[in-house]
Amino acid sequence: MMLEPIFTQFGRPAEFISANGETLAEMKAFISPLRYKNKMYLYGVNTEIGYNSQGHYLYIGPCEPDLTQAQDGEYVRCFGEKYRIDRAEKVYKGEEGFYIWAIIRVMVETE
Amino acid sequence: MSEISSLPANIVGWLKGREELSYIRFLTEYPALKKEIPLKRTTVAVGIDGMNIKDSFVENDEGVLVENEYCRLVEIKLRLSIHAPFSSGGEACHEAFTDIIDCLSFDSGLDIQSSGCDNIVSDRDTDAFVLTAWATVNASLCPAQSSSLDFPSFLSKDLLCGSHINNDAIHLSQEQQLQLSEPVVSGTYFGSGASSKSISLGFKPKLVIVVANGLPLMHVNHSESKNYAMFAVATQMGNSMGVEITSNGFKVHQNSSMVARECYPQLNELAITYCYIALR
Repeated sequence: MMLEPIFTQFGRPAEFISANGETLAEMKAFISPLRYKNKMYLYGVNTEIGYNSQGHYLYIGPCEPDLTQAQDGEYVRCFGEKYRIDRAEKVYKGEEGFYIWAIIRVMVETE
Repeated sequence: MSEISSLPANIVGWLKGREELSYIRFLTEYPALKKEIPLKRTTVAVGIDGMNIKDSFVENDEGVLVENEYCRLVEIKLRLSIHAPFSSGGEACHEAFTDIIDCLSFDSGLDIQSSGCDNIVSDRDTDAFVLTAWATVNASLCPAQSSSLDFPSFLSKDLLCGSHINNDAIHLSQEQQLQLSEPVVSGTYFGSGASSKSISLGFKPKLVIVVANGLPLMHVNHSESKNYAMFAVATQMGNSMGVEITSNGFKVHQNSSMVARECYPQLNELAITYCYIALR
């Protein structure tokens, strides 16, 4: 079973963006918030340097672009929101790549 | 206590203005802001770790140390929470720390007594290497002392010496100083013919004397069988006919219904110049 048709039909349009803002690839993927059952903090954490909203999301997407190869500064953009790639893994079916699993986080930019 | 609570913000504002520290982002501790994600540059939160206010002593003419009752020595321990992105490595914390201390020591003219830091730790909540550092700053806060140092501006002298400054028994208020430097105010006004006229002095006088310039104190009109008073005195306890003290000066009357013993006030006659003297 290939997942590509499912991503294409049901996934949200997203982009893989380079550190200097260039679109490296376009894809369709599932991006959903991680909830309390995932042991994420509901209300974020106040730190000495500001409020960390802990806005983590689960990314399930096609093998291309390969987010496991993301370089420092590269990110995912979806509906105008930017997501930093905290961790990405490629899931295999046999010897063939099946999909990309990643934990991404909403980026917060300051001045 | 607003002066103390604003102290970190004032220090942050000062540090932000240092060009050599422009690569560092300065904040007060736990700001009402979202943290940058991912952390892109070294970020330092400034707070107060502690404050110790001590009496100060000065030598008198005989070389004996006596307590300076109007001044206090203050030792303030500043806390610097230095956060460096993981990608910068832990050394970025030490670099920022030394740059900040150098700047405070040599550019600000602050009386830095000591400084130090703890170990670098990795913090997942801030995605950063964190170095907690501190610096102690001494300041002498005296109400009469002027200084070009930047530091004293961080604290109001009223805060620590307010009981002295606000003590009327040992200080004169501005009003009291004016009473000494300018106890008497004199002037003239030109009569308008209106039934009354208010003269503003800017204060409530204790005593006012009004006379018509170059004219007698009293004028008798035999044909009308009337007397006119061209002189009057007013105090805060009472006044002669024709003048009264107001909260901001005094008020004179002219031919009004104010009459006593067939005498009418004539203290605002048209084209007559009147002189007055007022005691503050």
